[in-house]
Amino acid sequence: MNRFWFAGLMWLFASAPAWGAPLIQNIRHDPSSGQVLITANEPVTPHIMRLQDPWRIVIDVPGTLADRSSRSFEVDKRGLQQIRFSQFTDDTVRLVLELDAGAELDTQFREQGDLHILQLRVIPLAAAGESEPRAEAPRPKLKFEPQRDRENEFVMRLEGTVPFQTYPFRLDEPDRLVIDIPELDTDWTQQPMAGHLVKSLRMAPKPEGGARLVFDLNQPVSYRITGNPTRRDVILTTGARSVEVASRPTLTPARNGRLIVLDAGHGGNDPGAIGKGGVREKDVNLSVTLLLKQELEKMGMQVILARHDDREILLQPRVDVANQAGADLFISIHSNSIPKPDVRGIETYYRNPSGLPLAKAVHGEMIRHLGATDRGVRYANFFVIHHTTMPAILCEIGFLTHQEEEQLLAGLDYQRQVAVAIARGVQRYWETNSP
Amino acid sequence: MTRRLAVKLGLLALLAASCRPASTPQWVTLHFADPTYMAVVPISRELPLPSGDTTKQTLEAVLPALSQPPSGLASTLPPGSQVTVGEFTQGIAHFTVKLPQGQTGSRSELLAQGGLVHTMATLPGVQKVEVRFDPPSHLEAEPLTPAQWTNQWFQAEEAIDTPLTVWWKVKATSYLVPLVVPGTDPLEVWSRGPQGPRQNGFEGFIQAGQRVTRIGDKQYIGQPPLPPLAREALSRTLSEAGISPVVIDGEPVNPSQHVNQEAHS
Repeated sequence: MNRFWFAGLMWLFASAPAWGAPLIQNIRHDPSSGQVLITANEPVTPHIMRLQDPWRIVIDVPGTLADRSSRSFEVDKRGLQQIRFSQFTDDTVRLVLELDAGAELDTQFREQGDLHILQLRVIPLAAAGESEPRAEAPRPKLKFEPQRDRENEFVMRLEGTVPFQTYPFRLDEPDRLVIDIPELDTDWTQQPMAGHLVKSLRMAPKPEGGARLVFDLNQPVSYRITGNPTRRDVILTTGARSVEVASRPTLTPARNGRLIVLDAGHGGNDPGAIGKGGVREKDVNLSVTLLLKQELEKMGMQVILARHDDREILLQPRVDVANQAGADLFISIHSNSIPKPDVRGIETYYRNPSGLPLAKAVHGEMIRHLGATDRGVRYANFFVIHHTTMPAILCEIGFLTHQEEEQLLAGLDYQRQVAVAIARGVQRYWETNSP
Repeated sequence: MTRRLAVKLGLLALLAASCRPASTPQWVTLHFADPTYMAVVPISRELPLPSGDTTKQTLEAVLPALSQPPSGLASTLPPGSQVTVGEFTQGIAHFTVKLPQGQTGSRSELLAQGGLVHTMATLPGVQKVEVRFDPPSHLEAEPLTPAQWTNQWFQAEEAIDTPLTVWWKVKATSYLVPLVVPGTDPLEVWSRGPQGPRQNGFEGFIQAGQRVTRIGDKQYIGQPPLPPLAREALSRTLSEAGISPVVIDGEPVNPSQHVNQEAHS
């Protein structure tokens, strides 16, 4: 891989657009400080989200224009691998920082004359205490073995030496079934299948670890995945697409302590609520969910994500994840909206009586820790908290229709505070509701 | 020839008019959002509705009024929402709501649902109301009675106690609103007024130095005597707790038939 330094690299963009939107004037990386600096001619409200596989932090700056086509460059700086930017939509500039796994961003704003500068400092994972990168043990590899290949059924067995989760989804034109497995690695391989349903099977390692399997299909199929924590059978059968669930993260985790399923609301084609500044609910929900996962894991809890990236997942599969795993708790993360722009605050919902003590514990911590307006713990018949069989809540962590809350919710710092508050609430719940 | 055609058209018009059900003014309890969007508030308004039993046409005739809140309140349907009346069978009225893009937060959905359930279920013959969202929401579609959608929430640190329905008013207005709050003694809870964050949007009637005393089974004395709106609120609160009829400041008080009644236009 070609890696080279871009010391003080700067792009100067063309003159401001005619319609007068804030202009991203330059984006540069300062290798001495490790900072990425985004300079605009007017105040901007960046929206930061975190994505996995590979680990990257995406900064959308709504309502802005960069009069330049997309570019990318690589940075051999510890923690930061690559920077990309593009005019993502007509009025949103997107910057993507591809990072070492676990690296984080610290964000700060400052003004310099008429310029507004967003400073992004990459915090490598090593900053948490390691002085040198440690040699990692080889990761467990995925084994696979075709079991059955008939006219109307195809079965493939997947095996790992450690428990793993499967995240299947489908792609069209041509028909493919894709399964991501974060816990296991694989070598790149392609295996033609002269069968009826599957044309070929491709496997590839993912840059951040993990395997991706792609089944190239001869025709649309239904699929299901069954098995145990270390062995799964992927079963493909002929059938109409409408019969089966679109995307079901099938998993059977090894139980080792308390197990929480986190559900980032909306995703993919379903953005959820959208703030005036362009902040999308689906992105805030996912970012807070990923941060909450970290917080809960620090506390020794196991976490499964019902949605781990920007994709649309139906409600039933989200519920299935929790019920099939036998989770102890289910927490769905959402952001709110209302037509009136001065309404703000936090609401926490429960549906089944078992969810009320959890809702009160989490809600109380959010109000205390965040100093947010208390809009109460409420009953509502939301699908995901109705059909889950464990204590389940849905947190509305703020109103995207409130300008200040929209800005707060778009920021990594506040997102982390929300995650910490919810995690404290969970801990508080366990203190008084231990089995 | 032309005269014959005109006569025929006139007869057709008369026939069409005679087929259309006549409209008569009827009182309907519409429900709107309070300014903090925490609760739905009943407003009695006289609307021209088709005569006779409640039909799909009745529901359609009520709908536009939900987008016409009185001063100080808000519609439970965000501007730009589209509501379609579905079937009305076996006492269940069905509605489909399409919220504007980006306005699909839980509070928007819940208030749209609550406004329709409470308003439509006050019409004769409507027992339950089912609200579906297009595209489908994470809020489940199910036929609801008003008792299944109430102005109830728990504030942080608030004890889970016996729920009481207490009538206070929307802050800085004279609109009475029923809130479900924890408590056991309706007079004591009503007199104390909203506590904590509820005070952001609602207020009670009893100020410092004032009090209401129970002097008999169903007799109450205000010191000083309660104004009419406070009497109405107290009698509604007591009635919700099964204490009715009552005598307040020496006069029998029954909750009026039409709450927050709008003047005839």
